[in-house]
This record gives sequence, C-alpha cells and structure tokens, in this order.
Amino acid sequence: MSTTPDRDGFASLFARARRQDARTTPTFEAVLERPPRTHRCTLPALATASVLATGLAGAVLLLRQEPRPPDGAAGQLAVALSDPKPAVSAGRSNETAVPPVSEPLPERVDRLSVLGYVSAKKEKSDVASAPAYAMASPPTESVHDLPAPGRFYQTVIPISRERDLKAVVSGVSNKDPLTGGFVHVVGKTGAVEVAEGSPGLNTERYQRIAENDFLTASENPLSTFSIDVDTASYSVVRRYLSEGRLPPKDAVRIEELLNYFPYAYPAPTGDAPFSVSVEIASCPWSPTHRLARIGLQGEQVQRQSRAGTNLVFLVDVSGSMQTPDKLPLLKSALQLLVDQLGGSDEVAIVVYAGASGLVLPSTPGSQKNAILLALDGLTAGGGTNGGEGLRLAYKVAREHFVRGGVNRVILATDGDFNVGVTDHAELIRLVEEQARAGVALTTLGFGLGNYKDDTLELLADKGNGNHFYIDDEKEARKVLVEQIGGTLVTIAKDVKIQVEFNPRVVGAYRLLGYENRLLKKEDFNDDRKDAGEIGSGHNVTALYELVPPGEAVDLPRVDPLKYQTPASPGAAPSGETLTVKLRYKEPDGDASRLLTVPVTDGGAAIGTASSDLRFAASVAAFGLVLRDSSHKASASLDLSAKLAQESLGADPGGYRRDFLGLVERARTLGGQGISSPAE
Amino acid sequence: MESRAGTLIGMQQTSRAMDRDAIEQAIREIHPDCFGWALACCQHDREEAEDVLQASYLKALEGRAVFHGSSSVKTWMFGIVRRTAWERRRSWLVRALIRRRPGEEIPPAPTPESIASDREAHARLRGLLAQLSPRQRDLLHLVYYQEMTIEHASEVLGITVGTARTHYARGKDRLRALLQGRNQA
Repeated sequence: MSTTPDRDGFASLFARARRQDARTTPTFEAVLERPPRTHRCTLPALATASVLATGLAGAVLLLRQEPRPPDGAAGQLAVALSDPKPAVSAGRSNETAVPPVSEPLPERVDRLSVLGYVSAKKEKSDVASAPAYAMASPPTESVHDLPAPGRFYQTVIPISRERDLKAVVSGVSNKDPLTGGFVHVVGKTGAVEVAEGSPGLNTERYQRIAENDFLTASENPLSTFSIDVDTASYSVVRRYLSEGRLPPKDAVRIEELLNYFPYAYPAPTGDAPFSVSVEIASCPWSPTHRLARIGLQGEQVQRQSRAGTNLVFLVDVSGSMQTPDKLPLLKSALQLLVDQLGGSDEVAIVVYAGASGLVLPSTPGSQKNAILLALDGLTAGGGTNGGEGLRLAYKVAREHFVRGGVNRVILATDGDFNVGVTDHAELIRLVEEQARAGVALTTLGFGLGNYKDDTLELLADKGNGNHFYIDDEKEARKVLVEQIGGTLVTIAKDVKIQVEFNPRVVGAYRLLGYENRLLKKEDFNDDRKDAGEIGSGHNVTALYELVPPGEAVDLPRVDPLKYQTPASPGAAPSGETLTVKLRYKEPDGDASRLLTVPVTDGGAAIGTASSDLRFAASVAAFGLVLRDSSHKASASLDLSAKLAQESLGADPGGYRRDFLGLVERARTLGGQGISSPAE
Repeated sequence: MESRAGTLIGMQQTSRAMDRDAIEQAIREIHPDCFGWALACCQHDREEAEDVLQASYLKALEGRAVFHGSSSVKTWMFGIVRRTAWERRRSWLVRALIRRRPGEEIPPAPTPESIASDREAHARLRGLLAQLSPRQRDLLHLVYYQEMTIEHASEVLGITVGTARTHYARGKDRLRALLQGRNQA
C-alpha cells in the first residue's frame, strides 16, 4: 500500500505497533480454544440490564438466590429481581410465575446468582416484523419479552452468541425484613462475579463394566439377577453413532440394548402379571454353543383403568442444559407426556440449578395449558443442586400423594449433580426412603458431554423407577408416550430371575449383560433384597450363551478340590436344560411370589428360531462388537446386520429398521475393525 | 500482503464454497492480522479481542458466516470480526454488565531496548488514535497497519470507497495534527 513516501511517519508508527502486537499474539489454537473467563460487574447494571435485554436480543437472564454457604441446607430458591420500568412493551411475557418461597428463607441471602445463556438472535432485517427477537434454538423459546414489574421472574438476556454467563452476587439481601417478602434488588449494589461457561469439556462418565465370564454349570448351577428394563444405553449408543463416533465401551450395556426393542412374547394368562417364555437355538457367533432367551411380557394395563397419577417433574435448568438436545428436547418430551394425562392426574414442576424452586404447584392434568405454559417458561442457566431439587420434588409429591395411584418424581437432567449437596450416599438414602414410602423416581437423561450415566441409573434403580436416555423427539415419544403405561404403572416389583442349569446338558453358561444387576443366589429368596420393576406392557429379555458339556471353554479355573469329589454331571437324570425361577411382588405387596418354568432344548438352529430370538441375537452381537467383548467369538457387525435383516418382521414402530441403520452406521465408522477376531 | 490477498482471491474464484479445512488454513495464514484487527476493534482490550476473534473464527468455521462475494478471505474475515465486535459492543448488557478495566496491559517485563520502545510507541499511537473518530481510526489501521487498499478497507467497513477516502484523509490530517501537537509539547 505504502507507495507514497512515509512523510508523516504513519507507516513506521503503525509498523511498530504491528511488531509489538505480533509479539503478544496468541496462537490460532489458543484463540479457538479459549477457556471461560471471569468478569466483574455491579448489581444495578444487572437489574437494568435485565429489562433492556429482553427487548433487544434473545438470550436469557435468570436471577435467583443460591443457598447460603457454607451451611447450604438453610437456603431455598427464590427467583428474584424485578423490572423497574418495562421499556419494551411489545410481545408476550415470558415471565414464569415462581412462588417466591416454598420453605423458609434465611434472614439474609448472601448470594444471588445471575445466569444467562445465549442463542442467536434474529437478523436485523427481521426486527421490524417480529415483536421480539427470536432464538435460533429452540424454536419453542423463540420469543422473549418483558416480565411484569414487581414479579419474580427468570428471563433470558443476551451476553453474546456463543457464551454462557453466570454471576454470583455476594452480600445482598432481597428479603424485606418487615413483610418477609422480597424487595427489588434494583438499585442495590454488590460485586458480581461473572464467569462465562465454556462448552467442550467432556465430563461424561460411564461405570466400568466387567463382563460376565463363562461359569461351569457343575460348580455354579445357579445364575441369579434382577430384571432391568432400562434402555438408556441404546439411545446413548445411537447418539454416538449418529455423531460419527463409536461409543465408549462402557456405555454399551447389552441388556439395555436388548430391552430397547419390543418383542412379541405371549401375553400373560392366569394370575401372574407377566408371562415367561424361553427359547433356545444355536448361537450365531459360536455355532457349537446354544443361545437361550428368557422373555418376560408384562400385562397391559389400560390407561382408563389407571388410578390417579401424581407426577412431579424435577427439571434441571442448569447452564449445561441449554443446548438444543437438552432442555428444549426435554420440554418437548414433557409436553408429550402432559398430553397423555387426564383429569385425575396431577402434575407439578420443580426446577433446580444453583438452588431449586417450585415452578408449578400440583395442577390437574385437565389444565394442560397451565402445565404447558409453565414448561414453556423453563430456561436454562446456572449450576446444579440436584439434592435440593430432589428434596423439594419429593416434598411436593408427598403433599399430593395418591393412595393406590402412581406417585412419581420424574427427574430430567444431563446428570450434572455437582453443586451443593452432592453426597451420593445421602442422595441414594433419600431416594430409597421415598421409594419405600411410595414415591418412585424415574430418571430421564439428556445430552452428551456432561452425562453422568451411572448416577442416573443408580438413582432410578434405588427409586423403584426406570432410567431412560432421550436423544431425540422420536425417543421422547417412545419413552413418554408409547411406554407411558410401563413408565408410570408398575405391575410387579422386585422381579428376580434365578436360572438353574442342568450340568448334564449344559457344561458352562454366560449371561449376556446385566453385569450390574447380578444377585447372590441367596438373594433370590430374600424378600428384603431390592430388584427391578416391570411396568405395564413391558418386555424383559435376557440371553444366556450355553456351552455343551465336554466342550472346552476359556474360563478361570480353580484347582480341583482335594477333599471332595466334584458333583458328577448327571446327578439329576433329566433331559431338561434349565429351569427359570422368578420371584416378584405385587406393586403394593411385601411378600414375593414364585414362578417356575422348566425348559428343554429342542435343538433348533438359529435359522429356524423365532424372529424375536434372531433379532435379539443380532442386537447382542452388535453389543459384543461395540464392547469389543472378549467373548464375542465370531460376532461381527456383518453378522449382526445379517441377523437383523432376516428378522425385521412386522417391525411396529420401525425400531428394528432403525437398528439396522445403526449397524450400517457402525460399519462405516470402522466398527468392523474392532470386530475382527482377536486371533 | 497484497500477493497473499491475490492468492486468496484466486482461491475464491476457483471454489465458491470453501470447505472447512480450506477456510481454517486461510484463517491461519492471516491469524496475526486478524488479531491486530480484533484489538483495534476492541479498543485494545485483549480479553475482549480474543473473545471476539474466537467467536468470529467459530462463525467462519461452522459455516454461520459464508465466504462469497468478498475480495479475499482477509476482507471477509475482517468484516466478521468487525461485526462481531460491534454486536458485543452494541449489546448494552455486555457494556453495562461487564465493566472491566479497558485495555488491560501486557505485564511489563524486562525487554531489549527496541521492544520497549515498540511498546511505548504502540501505547502512544493508541492514545492518539483514541482521539480520532472510530471510522477514521479503523481506516488508518486497515491501511497502515494491515496494509490494505482503501477499496478493501471500505469493503471491510461496509462503506463506499468515496466515504472511505474522505474519512481516511480526515483521519490522516487529524493524526498528523496530533503528532505535531505532541511533538511540540
């Protein structure tokens, strides 16, 4: 550029500036991967900001108090701050009616959280036609307007498009000492720490799974486990594959993959609330082995005959929930569920983040609009205190307890229980206690990246509920609409399965999956031992791989016993292969009942087996490959695809076809590579 | 500088829609320039500049800003940086809420004479430029610091070349006057 002589010395002046900047220029990578940062600001700015922001651009400001540290137990949520002068009056209000106090507040609130999250605003040209700015995602949150003055509210304000914003105010009280009500914090000053949240850190956690080994039938004739109708693992696997990644091994739980799919097991007849059917055929990945499937079919309870339902949604609105696959998906999922409710049902909504609060008191299912409105008003931002939220949710559920009906807290979260009362043992004790008192807990997991799979599953397990992972609208529909009967109505609880193998027919066996559901053989008859629930219309499927006697299997051996003769195979001169024993309790019963089903292997080949068994084998093979199981033998994605292809059947809901697509997807991702036999 | 812009112009002509890798490569090449421009757009607030730059890069890499119709990747990217900085500035919230000490200095460390004098010169120039109108300031930066033509600078700023020339001339006059005033003082 500088073709003209540098008479004024501008060029050299700028060149020196340039040189100076160059010395301190961060690298390209450093800029791209910038961590969050902290800002300071003052409260009046916050208060004013919250008014203008709603009119100007489309992000969220959520104002609320956090429990007073360090004894956080005293605190309760109140969404605070009010609008001194609504500057922009166009459009609707997104005010969420948050009852200010559900429990006594401390005299003085020491911290006030300000959280915002961000989404794209509309282009400038759209402003004229739109009353307010729209958010790019989710569409359901597209309009943000002003709250009425003097009301408690949470709202969304813009910080920037890409950033999350959190703030903590110290030393401010917004509780009026005279009236006990809240006063506007407008005009008060206080230092505010604003930390911008950053995406990117992957803190997902999956419990390590130690696979079941083969066990000899002579030494371990009994195999005992609790049923599990959770299906979350399948959705997690699907989510990974659809993002073009293979799932972590420990995220793959074979029993949850199997139980994701409906199977056409015979409907129960007689007294028991479910049927038991067993089928045995050759094992596709180890042709000399046999594959035994135990299938349970729960009876279908008609929705009309359902007793009243008392549901408390406990919704995580923490900052990590802001992405479209979390809170927005959760909201549409819960809306689907609300559509299923009738007048005898009651719904309440409790939110939690840095503190927790009742957003919607128990409301009859007939008032759908009120419920949907409250759902719609939920916005994300902030830390998480699952413990406090859970306590409040249980409290609400207890207050509206329906005798003989369904009383359930539905926790919807990405599992980030990381603020406040995080003592897992305490949390679990609470959940167990409430389950005993009749309030069950169902957990819905959302989103990847921050997902604490094991916590959610454990809580649901202890809370006599189910755990689901919801990765898209379709899954939400499946879980909340199609399975609503099963999710909400338990037809039998503490269902345990004990299989006794005949050593004469079965040399060794291996249970596929259910690793974290194994029970000791004594637990089977011990009614104090908790086990899984089966809901209305639910299927439960378990697969055993059986090795004929005499065939060598690679299994950990102990030295032969010196003082005893090993039990001789064939002690029982019976042609039966195995006997399935089931124990279950009626939903409100304390004493278990026993079902016994003896089974004889008819010698069928997998090719002539039912399509349900072939499909289950396909799913199991898929799981073995993704887990890179040491027992996968010749299992491969090709085998899985072939089996699925030939067993699609009528495929109501299209789940089997979707599965086939998933297998193909894993194949293109090189999942085949990990499936090559180790030898 | 011009020759680099030239190759990028060529790239743009052969492939209207660049893929992510190509965009990233192109941005890497001009990254130091972009940082300098981001600083200029953020009143030399480093933190803010890095934020703006990160946001701008993400827009470009994630396809939220699409490269077409610009003279070069540089003018395109500079336009994004400028708009991003403006969006953040305009967001009164950021202005009101995030009231930080502007232009946080790099911690001074013992440095060779030349570097120290560069820093001094830089600080001085910044002080002078602060007295110009934003448009004049931007134009002088683009022309002298970034060695852009007036045409490209006007494209970055989204103004006509004529307007750009006027502001450029006035900016030079003002800066010259300031420099002389400073020298006399």
